[in-house]
Amino acid sequence: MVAANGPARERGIHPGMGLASAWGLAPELAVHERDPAAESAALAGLACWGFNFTPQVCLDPPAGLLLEIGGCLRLFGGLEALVSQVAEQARRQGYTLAWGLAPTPLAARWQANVAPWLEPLAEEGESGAGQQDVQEGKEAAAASAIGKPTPPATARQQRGQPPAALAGGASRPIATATRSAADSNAAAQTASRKGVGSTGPSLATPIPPASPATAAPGADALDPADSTIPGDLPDAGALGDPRNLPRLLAPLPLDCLELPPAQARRLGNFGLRRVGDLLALPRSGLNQRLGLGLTTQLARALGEIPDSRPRFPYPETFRQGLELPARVEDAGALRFAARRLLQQLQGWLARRSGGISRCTLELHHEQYGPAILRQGRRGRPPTLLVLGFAGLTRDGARLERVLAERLAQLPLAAPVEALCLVADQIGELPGQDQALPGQGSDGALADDPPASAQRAALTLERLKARLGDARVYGLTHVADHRPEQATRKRPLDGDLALATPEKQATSQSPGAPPQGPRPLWLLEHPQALGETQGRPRHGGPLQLLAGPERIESGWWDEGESSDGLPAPGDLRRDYFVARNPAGEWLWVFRDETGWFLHGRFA
Amino acid sequence: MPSASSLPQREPPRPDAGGLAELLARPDIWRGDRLAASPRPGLPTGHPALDRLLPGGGWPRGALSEFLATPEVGVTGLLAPALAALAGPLLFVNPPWPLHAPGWQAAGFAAGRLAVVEANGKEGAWACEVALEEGGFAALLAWLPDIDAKGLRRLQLAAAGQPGLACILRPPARAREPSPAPLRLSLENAPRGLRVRLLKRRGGDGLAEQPLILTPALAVTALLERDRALALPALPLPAPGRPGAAARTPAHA
Repeated sequence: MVAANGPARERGIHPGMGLASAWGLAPELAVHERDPAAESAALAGLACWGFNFTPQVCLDPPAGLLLEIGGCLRLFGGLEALVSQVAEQARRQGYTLAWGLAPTPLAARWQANVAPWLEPLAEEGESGAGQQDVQEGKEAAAASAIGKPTPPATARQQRGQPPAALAGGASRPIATATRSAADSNAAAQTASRKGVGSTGPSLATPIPPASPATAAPGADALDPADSTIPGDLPDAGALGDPRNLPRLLAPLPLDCLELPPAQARRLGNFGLRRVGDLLALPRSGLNQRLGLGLTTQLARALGEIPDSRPRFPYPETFRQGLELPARVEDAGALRFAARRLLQQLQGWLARRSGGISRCTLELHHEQYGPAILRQGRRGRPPTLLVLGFAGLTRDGARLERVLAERLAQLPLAAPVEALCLVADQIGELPGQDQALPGQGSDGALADDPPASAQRAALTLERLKARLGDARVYGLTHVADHRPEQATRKRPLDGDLALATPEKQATSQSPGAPPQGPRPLWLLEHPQALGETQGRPRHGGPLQLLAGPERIESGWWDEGESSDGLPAPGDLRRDYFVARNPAGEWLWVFRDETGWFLHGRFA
Repeated sequence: MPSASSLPQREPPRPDAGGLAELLARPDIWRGDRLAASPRPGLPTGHPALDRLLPGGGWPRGALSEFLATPEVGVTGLLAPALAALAGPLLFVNPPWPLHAPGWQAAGFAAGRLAVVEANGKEGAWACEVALEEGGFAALLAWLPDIDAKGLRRLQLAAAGQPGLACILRPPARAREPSPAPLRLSLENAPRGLRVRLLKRRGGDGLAEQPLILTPALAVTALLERDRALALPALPLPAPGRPGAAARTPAHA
């Protein structure tokens, strides 16, 4: 047993227990196998998400993430704003965040270990984060809907994993939620989704303590925020300065150090309860009694010796999966799950200063193994949902909008068990792709052509997502004298209306002869007209106002087809501008077979 | 009295002529005998006679304009001058016929500015709503024969606040149905131009006025004017013979 939730513990189940004895205590126990691969995949996904905040992300396995935020505080408007954003977005990712802030990574992790809402569970062993946790969360939510109100502290972080317990737990099943509806209250408490982010203002490479001046970058950034930090955040001024670390760490209980059990017992025997007690002791004595390991850890946490950590290796390709808690049969419901993946994609794109013009959401149907990223799939092939964008973007709202349109139109062939998002077309997109500029001021129409064109591109992107490329298109003028061939549909890929006057000039072929009048509307097929005394009729006899304009030849594409329509091929026509008694302006032609209406001028 | 003038006292507003005129000039006060002033100026229609009848002096922005006409009536002829004054992209929803790019190019609209959405019924209304909500288009021209008052209301809400034109074209039979569009016009072809009748507008009566007969501003009319100026003879009826080789099969068949 690696972890147990509240109700399970009430029944006497505790980590370290064998599965058989656990079942003996609680026969209805729901046991989830621990899946280290899924855990690390989930952590990698979270690391991608972490790029939303800072380019420097380190993994702190099994369930921790280190974000260097000293350099990006100003961007986010101070410590408070940043932390609340991180917490809020982590919640949307489906994880509960326990965070700590410190100038060194280790100190930050220790702080995260004792984040206040952790305390009730601090002594429990735990399983890592991951897909499974999301699953538990959803189950619990369903259960609590039937049952009693959930306890106030539903989002409870589990944390604190003695390395020994983890190592042993990897292969063992873990107990989590009890599934019986009667025990829904219990299940709700398992809603605690795991996943820990510890944030530290310091970089993986710590600040050399000997030179306070170099420590200043962090402190500088923090200073202006000093007055705005509310009481529940650690003192920001102290935070940036490693010299304050001993004071910061002193009140922490020794549990947060994640010491091996033997060492922890020993320290307890010494009468030590808090980190401060430990720091007060002479190091040499500690070295003698407990070995170098502990003092090295302390020195790392205090920034006395470097604590270099490998940065999260930036993945060159983006492919993130997400297992759904239950089989989903309604495409619309997938949107919320897919949003998490989109946020991860956003972070990944932000890190590479890139944008995406197309990505694919794979909907994996049931009958797949639990770990969707693993090999050995079988059964129904996944449904591929291609999201196309007008131009490169990493704007989350835009990604979501297109996703929503596509999902709303999607008939699901089979229930979906897992999602996987793959980035297909990536390009450079420097700078921030934040919200688009506001709408034009009252007086001016299209006052800012690039902005309005960009908005138009977004609109068309949404229309295309729902109606398909064939029904939303732009036009282009082709230099062909035959009217049928002169207009061609063109796919809209975001450059609509960017045709500036210069572009317009070049789009006309230079050697084109001056044309006669051309109608605004061209009938798809010429409409045969009746005649009276050699004069064409359409709502009365037509009055020919201009013409004839001879349009002929076109033998080169005889019998071919373009855009699904047969090419007009060779033709020989005399075109006239005509008006009928009703006042309609028409474009008619005469060929060897008679009179035809071909276009309208208004 | 010098003492009174030296002391800045808050005087009650005197009901003199200047104050009244000032009061009446406020945009939120409307006199029944006048056309309401639109909060934002309209887009000149290019037909001065029509401009005088429209609140704001032109096509309203950020509001629906509803045109009741058969597709054969040249609405584009009426709208062309206003559209030509716009710089942004134009969106056509459910046009009755395919657009002919050279014609639009000749009228001053580069093909690259035109976007077409082929969607009718509910999808067409949805497309219009999206386009109005998101904005970005200088004008929207939508042929929505099936849309009802509820759908129009949604479009009107979506259009509010946008700087672009929103023109909805419906068949003339719909003129009897209530509509939330602030401006409604019925159009008919007339031998000498386009007969325009105002059915509804914001503020101001006078809807019973004589219908306007407007000359549609088309590129082709300008071309014909030029030909007339060159004193070309009136076009004789072509000889009854057929041009080209008689044995050919018609290409359009």
